[in-house]
Amino acid sequence: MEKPTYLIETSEDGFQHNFDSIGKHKTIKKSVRFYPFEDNSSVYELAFGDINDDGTIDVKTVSNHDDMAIVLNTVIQTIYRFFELNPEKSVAFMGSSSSRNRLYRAIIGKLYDESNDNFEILGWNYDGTIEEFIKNKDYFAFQIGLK
Amino acid sequence: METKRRLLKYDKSIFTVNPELNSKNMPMSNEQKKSHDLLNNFFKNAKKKDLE
Repeated sequence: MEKPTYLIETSEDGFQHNFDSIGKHKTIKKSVRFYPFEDNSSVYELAFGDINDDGTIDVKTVSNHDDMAIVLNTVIQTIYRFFELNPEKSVAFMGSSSSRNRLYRAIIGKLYDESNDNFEILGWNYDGTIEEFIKNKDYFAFQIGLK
Repeated sequence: METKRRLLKYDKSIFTVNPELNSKNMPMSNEQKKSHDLLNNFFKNAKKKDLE
């Protein structure tokens, strides 16, 4: 079954993806970007948010646009593309606000349900330990890579 | 690596490559830099539990 997504403009290397979130009254430009960790170039941070005028992204706000399911599906598609182009890398992400946390937990939950056979999913605990992801457990951050 | 690539099925038709987008053109706000550094430091010091 096909899930609704937005059309995505993407970089050739799979590190940057932009799309328009279309609401009843306005359109918001959003971006999903993958930034390497300075100390480990095999791990990338997934950052997602509205594109600011200066080209940075707002990593805290979640626009209330009644299109959360479409946005969620679109972000997940960018993760698939990232891994197709960068199969040896892994991706980490955390919510910088409670609403953003909910969004990322929903992404991980969907990936876990739909593609657990493809992905290794790890949970980063608040005590500084990393473990295999346990569904519905509260984590500081998540990490995902191909099995 | 090819084995891993074959496992991924997603809707490629929704993607259009824009040559103006690339990893060198992804500025970070101060707010974003803070959370990026936080994640980076966490990972640097993290201990993996029961992962073989």
